[in-house]
Amino acid sequence: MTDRDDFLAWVRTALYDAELALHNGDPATRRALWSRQEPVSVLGAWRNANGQQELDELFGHLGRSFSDCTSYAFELQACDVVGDMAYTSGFEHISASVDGAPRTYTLRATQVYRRETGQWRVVHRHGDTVNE
Amino acid sequence: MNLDQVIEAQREAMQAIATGDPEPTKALYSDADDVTLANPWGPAVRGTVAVREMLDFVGTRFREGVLDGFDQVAVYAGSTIASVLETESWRVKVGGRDDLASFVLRVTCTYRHEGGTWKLVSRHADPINAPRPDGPLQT
Repeated sequence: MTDRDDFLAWVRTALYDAELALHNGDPATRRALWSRQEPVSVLGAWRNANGQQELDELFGHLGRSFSDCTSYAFELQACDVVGDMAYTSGFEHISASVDGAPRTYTLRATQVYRRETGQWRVVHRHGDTVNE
Repeated sequence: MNLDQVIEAQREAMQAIATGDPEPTKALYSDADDVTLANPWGPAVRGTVAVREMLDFVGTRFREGVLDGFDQVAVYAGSTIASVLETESWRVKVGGRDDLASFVLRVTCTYRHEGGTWKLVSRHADPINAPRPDGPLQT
């Protein structure tokens, strides 16, 4: 198994599970897959976060906002893995309730990852709405 | 180019495309076909042909523009992959308009070290610069 295969297996399992949990109102699994080192950053569809404290606040807010996820799918557009760094570009297709109201939308998502003590961790996320 | 030099080159390329010239941006991009571009002009595109076509389109939409500044927020750098998070402050004439439009883009650029230099593989830019109460549900 190559580094790329390993990484994509992690994206399709652990990362997928974490995103599903977040959209069901539980941010803890996603938080656990993010780096605990500075810097970390989010350019989010709702708001930005820079640094560990703002990240905690943002994920807590998202967890309180999301519930009843009926569908989450990540459509990979591109990725590369070299050494202890990786990135993904793709689309997140989501059906979940936002503040109690069922919604369906797609985000463009770019994420950057760093392998820390053998484990992949997210360090940066850029998400926005798909433009038609 | 080292990473600092390619970051500067990318800024200069934005200056050029603000005047309608997409060629410096095209030159920064890797020739590999896994390149992507997600900008405010439409859905994200993948592949050398699609990225170049999008850059050509952007070049037809911008003129007489300037970049007033760049604010680097974070750099995530390994030996072969590096991502740079910046905000870009633009003033540019868009489309057929005669007035200069001002906007700020938040940008993630990802580079890959190839053939002794850094090449752009992914640019993700959007104009979201304040918290949005409805997030992706904005129209």
